[in-house]
Amino acid sequence: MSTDLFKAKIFQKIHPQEFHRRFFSKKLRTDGREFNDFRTTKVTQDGIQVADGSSTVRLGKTTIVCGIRAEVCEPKLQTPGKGYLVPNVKLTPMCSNKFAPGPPGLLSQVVSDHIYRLFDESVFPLDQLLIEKGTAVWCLYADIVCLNYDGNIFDASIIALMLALKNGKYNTFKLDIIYYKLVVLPKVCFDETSGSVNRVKGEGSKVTLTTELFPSTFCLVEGSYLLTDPSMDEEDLADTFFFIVMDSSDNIVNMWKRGAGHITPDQTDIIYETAKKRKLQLEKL
Amino acid sequence: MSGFPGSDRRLVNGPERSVPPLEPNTDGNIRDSIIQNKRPSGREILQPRPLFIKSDLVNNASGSAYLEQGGIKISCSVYGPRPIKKVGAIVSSTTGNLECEFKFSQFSSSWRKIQQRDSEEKEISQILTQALGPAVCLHMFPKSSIDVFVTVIESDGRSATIAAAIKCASLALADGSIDMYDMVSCCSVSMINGFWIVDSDQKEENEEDASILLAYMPSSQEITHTIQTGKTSIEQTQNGINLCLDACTKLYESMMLSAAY
Repeated sequence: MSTDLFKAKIFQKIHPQEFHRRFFSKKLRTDGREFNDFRTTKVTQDGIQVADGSSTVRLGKTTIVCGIRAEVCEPKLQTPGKGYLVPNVKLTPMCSNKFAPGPPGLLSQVVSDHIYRLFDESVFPLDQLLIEKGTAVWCLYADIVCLNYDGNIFDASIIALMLALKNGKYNTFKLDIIYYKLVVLPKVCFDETSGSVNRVKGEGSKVTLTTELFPSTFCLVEGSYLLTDPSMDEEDLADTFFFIVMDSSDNIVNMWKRGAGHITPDQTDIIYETAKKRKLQLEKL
Repeated sequence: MSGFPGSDRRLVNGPERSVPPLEPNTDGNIRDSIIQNKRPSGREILQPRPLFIKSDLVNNASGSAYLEQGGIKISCSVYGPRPIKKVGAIVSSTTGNLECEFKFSQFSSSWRKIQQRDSEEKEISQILTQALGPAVCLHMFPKSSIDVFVTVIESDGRSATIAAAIKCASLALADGSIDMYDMVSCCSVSMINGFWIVDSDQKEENEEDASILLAYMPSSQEITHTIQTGKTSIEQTQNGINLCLDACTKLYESMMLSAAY
């Protein structure tokens, strides 16, 4: 390592704020991106053989694996024809020293709960998980495991869950414009005499999403630098976050601003524009 | 979110009880094919699955490694040496503490139930600590702890997954520049119809009569940990251990290759 690079590394460790500020004042970020650039996003589908659907998403260095397991259970009394989708985000100390061992921490609770509410009936209709009304439905357990944490867990988790549901192996054709083919549930039959659900040979039923989701995250550092797709270092400096989800027809599905700072109307215009561009990027994945 | 007894309010909870659909009876001819020296995967009886192992994937950890062996996928990171934070931990002034935490992801195996609350993960964590402990120069790190976190992304055979976790963790320790006597290689063998088969996968493990898991340091030629389950004669056990030692030495070569980079 040359001495200059070594000095820069020490400077970054001791004064992270000043280190980043010097980049920001030249309209650049420490990893060479411009303010409204996203990190390279790579996806792999269907990597896990034992899972019923799976995907891996890499957003820069952030790596997320989403695996889905389908099990059979009884429906709720209030909703006899509807199944379950159970998404849980696991941020273990394996992925970063920020997270402690033991029960799920605050961030993973917040992300899990937000994803649970985002993938509601208008996005993922639960009546397609029906096997036998009032007796048996599917329950999709979607576990989203972080392998390397480098910021922006929201975007990565949502993309991973989307792609795991929309499993590549079966996604050879689109059914029509708004419906997409997703996880194929194993074909089962309900045995009335024994009351059990048996797996039988043959093509299973497909699961569909009414719309695809295209998330983007922004953060505001020192009230003036609006950064797209923040890395972990940038997240630590930021006081305000803005999270926006677009659907297939350019509508806003979800919007969430958190943090104590304020965002000006000009900045929201930039956010909308960038989110639309991001949608086009993600559609190509 | 429902609040049935046993649910965790920190998780998105599913139904109280769920089961995988009943599988039709699969053809159980693995036993016959072993006699004919054939395995379902087409491997030789004494051939372990090829190993892919890579270090330094988690940027925030002192050391990390990712391993693939057949269907098995494991990721591991190591933190430390760092001050002991855990309340109630035994703080020894002369030696360091090696803490291992082993976790399955929910979707990682066909044989585990969803959100199983049992001691299996803790038991495997113990095995990891016992297998890696003798290899780490703990006297070099007084009053500090070295924490190893292992996550199984996909498993294929219980013993084979533990063996893979030990290999992955020892490369992660080496990547984290933790002083060690040697890297620990590990392999499992299963006995089916009186034959030992090396590095058995899930299908073979379902049929096994006995199994041996052996952790070994090939350079210093020392065994750090071994478990046998099932009934065998003394000669058969010795034979099985020898097979494990050979396989460990083979696997050690590919571990050394990735450690060198």
